[in-house]
Amino acid sequence: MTGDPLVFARPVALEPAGADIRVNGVDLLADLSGAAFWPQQRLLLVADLHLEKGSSFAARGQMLPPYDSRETLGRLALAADHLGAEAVCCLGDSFHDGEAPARLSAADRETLRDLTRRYDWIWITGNHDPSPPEGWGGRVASELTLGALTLRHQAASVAVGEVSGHFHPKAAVRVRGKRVVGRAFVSDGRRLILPAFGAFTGGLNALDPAIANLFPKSFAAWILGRKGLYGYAASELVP
Amino acid sequence: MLLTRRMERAGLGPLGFVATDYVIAIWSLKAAQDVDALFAEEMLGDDLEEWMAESSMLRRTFRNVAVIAGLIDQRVGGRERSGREMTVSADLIYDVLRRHEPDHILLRATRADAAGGLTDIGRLAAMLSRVKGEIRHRRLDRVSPLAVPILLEIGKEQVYGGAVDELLDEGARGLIAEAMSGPDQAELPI
Repeated sequence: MTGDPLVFARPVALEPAGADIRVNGVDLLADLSGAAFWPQQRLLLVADLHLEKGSSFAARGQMLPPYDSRETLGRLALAADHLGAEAVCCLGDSFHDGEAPARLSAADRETLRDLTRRYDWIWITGNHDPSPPEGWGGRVASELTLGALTLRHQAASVAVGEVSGHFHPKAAVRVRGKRVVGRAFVSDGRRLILPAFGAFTGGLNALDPAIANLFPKSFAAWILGRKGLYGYAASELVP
Repeated sequence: MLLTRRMERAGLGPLGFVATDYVIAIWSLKAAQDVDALFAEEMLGDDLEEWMAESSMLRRTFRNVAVIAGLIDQRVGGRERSGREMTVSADLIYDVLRRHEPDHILLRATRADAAGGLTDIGRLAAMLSRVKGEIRHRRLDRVSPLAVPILLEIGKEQVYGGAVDELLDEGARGLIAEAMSGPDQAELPI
């Protein structure tokens, strides 16, 4: 815009768009996209893509726009490329339901095939997709142990060195009397729960017992803003 | 809304606003110094459209449009959904539609509804040129009596945008290390 008479400085740059989280001695990078990256393994971790959730609701009579899969896959491709991933692991609930793969548009199918060809691809099974359909490329596993970390869909009641999804965690804080809420990474250094990566996915507050009880001592939440991630201790969160 | 847009670009971190026929109140993280610049006529420029699309007023209008269109059900699974849940799902749809089908009929309906509601660009332009150079900026040491009614209204409109990040950044106090009880806690930086 030309001729702008404002002389105020632009907002100061905030932290770079990522946060380091150490889980069971492994350094992971929590990305602003909602994915986690394991630099040593060049492995990108994403949870709860819920592909074709829009068309699933549409089939039940609640019309939602059909672009959620394109949106999700586009962001996934971007994150994998930008972080320099060689492998991608989807931590379950990748497809919203059993018929979801058949409802993917031709373009989205092609995008997904292209992704599974380009990267070493692992589908972890979830409660929405107990058996990911054949023919999409990639390997299927119910859980996977790599070095010090076990990758699974839903956190086990007791586990050390675990990365999971399932809960779609979000967290809220109150600053200057305003409640700010966002998707969040949740970890106590022993296990890490990823936020949902999918476009139409809601969230469960990290203080909900279903999540909080998985962290017997305490935990921290990294809230996804627009420009960066912001780490808070559990004691600072609000419902 | 245009003012908060300006303030956001100026790095003032606007948090919210309330407007009536007579008064507009905006609160922000940092104090505005150059009020004349905020009311410059150029504020009707490029970012008008973009700001309109981002505003929570349009988001609320879209929610109403979406309910009328039957896109969103007020009642899901036999129970009344809370206002918050409704807002979230309408927001998600709004963002996705804006990106992929900016000319979607529901978005056009939203813009049409909103245009008749709070915004009248022509009158706004005339007002801006009328007040040019006529603005008196006073910093009061107490709340002016005329401002009291509007202060009671605070909280109705939300500002979306960079202020969310500024708030999150401001609130973060680096207490994460205490909350981490990992087996290698001794190695965590203090």
